[in-house]
Amino acid sequence: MKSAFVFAALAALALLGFSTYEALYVAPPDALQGNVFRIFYYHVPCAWMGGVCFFLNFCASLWFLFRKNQAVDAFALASAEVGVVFCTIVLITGPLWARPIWGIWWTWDPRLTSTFVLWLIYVSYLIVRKFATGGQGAVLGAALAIFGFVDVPIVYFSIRIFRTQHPQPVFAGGQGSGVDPRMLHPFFWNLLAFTLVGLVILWARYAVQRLDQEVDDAHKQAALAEGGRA
Amino acid sequence: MNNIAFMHAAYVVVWIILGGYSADLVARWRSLERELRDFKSAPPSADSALAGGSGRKK
Repeated sequence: MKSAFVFAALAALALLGFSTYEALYVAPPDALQGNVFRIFYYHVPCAWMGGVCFFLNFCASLWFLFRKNQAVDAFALASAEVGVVFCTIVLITGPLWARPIWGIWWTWDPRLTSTFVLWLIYVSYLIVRKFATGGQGAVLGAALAIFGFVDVPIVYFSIRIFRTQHPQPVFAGGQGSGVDPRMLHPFFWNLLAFTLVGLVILWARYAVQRLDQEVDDAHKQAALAEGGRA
Repeated sequence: MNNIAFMHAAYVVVWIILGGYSADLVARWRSLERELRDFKSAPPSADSALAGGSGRKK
C-alpha cells in the first residue's frame, strides 16, 4: 500500500514538472494578455480540483449521515481540507492574474464573491470538525457540508448567469469561446497533473485521518479496559 | 508584471502552498505512526487512564 502511494506521488511530481514546462515554455503567450495568461494553466486546474474535492465531500457527508461509517467520515474530512487548500490557491492566483489585466486585485463580482463564500463555508466546516465537542463534530460537519455544497453550482454558473468582471466561460461557453489548439495541449497536461497531485494529497490526508481515528480508538479502549479493571 | 519571471514567481506560490501542506501531512503521518507504535508497545497505566479519560492529547 505504501509503495503504491510512493509510486503515485512520484508519478504526480513528474507529471507536474512536465506540465509546468508545457505551461511556461511550450504554450504560446496570449495575443491580448501576453505571458500573464499562463496563470490560466494552474488557476483553472486548481479550481477544478477544489470542486472535485467538495463534490467528494458532499457524497461522503450524505453517506455518513445514513451509515455513520468512520472511514467515510475520514474521507469527508480529508476531501474538505484538501478542497480548502486548492480553493486557497485559486483565491491567491486569481488576484495575481487580475492585477495586471484588470488593474485591481479584487472586485466583489458574482464569481469572485461566490468563490470566497465557498472558501468560508468549508473553512467553517473544518472549524466545526476541529472544535465541536461531545462527538457531534462529524454529524454537524456532514449537515453543514451538504448545505454548503449548494454554493458549488452557484460558483460554476455565476459567469453564465450574471454579467461579471471575471471572464466568460472558456470551455463549453458557446459561440466565441475556446482557446487556440496550441494552448489546449498544455492545459490538459496541467489539468491531468493537478488532478493527480490532488488525488495523491487526498490519499495521504485520508490515511492520516484513519491513523488518527485508530490512535483515538486505541486510547479509548485502553481507558475502558483499565477502568473496568480498577 | 506581464513577463515570464512573474509567471515563475506565481508558480512558486502554488508550489509553496502544495509543498508545505504535503510536508505537513507527511510529518503528521509519521508522528501518528510513531504514536500508535509506542502506544501498542507500552499502553498507559491504570492511574493515567483513569485520571485523563482517553488519555490522548491532540
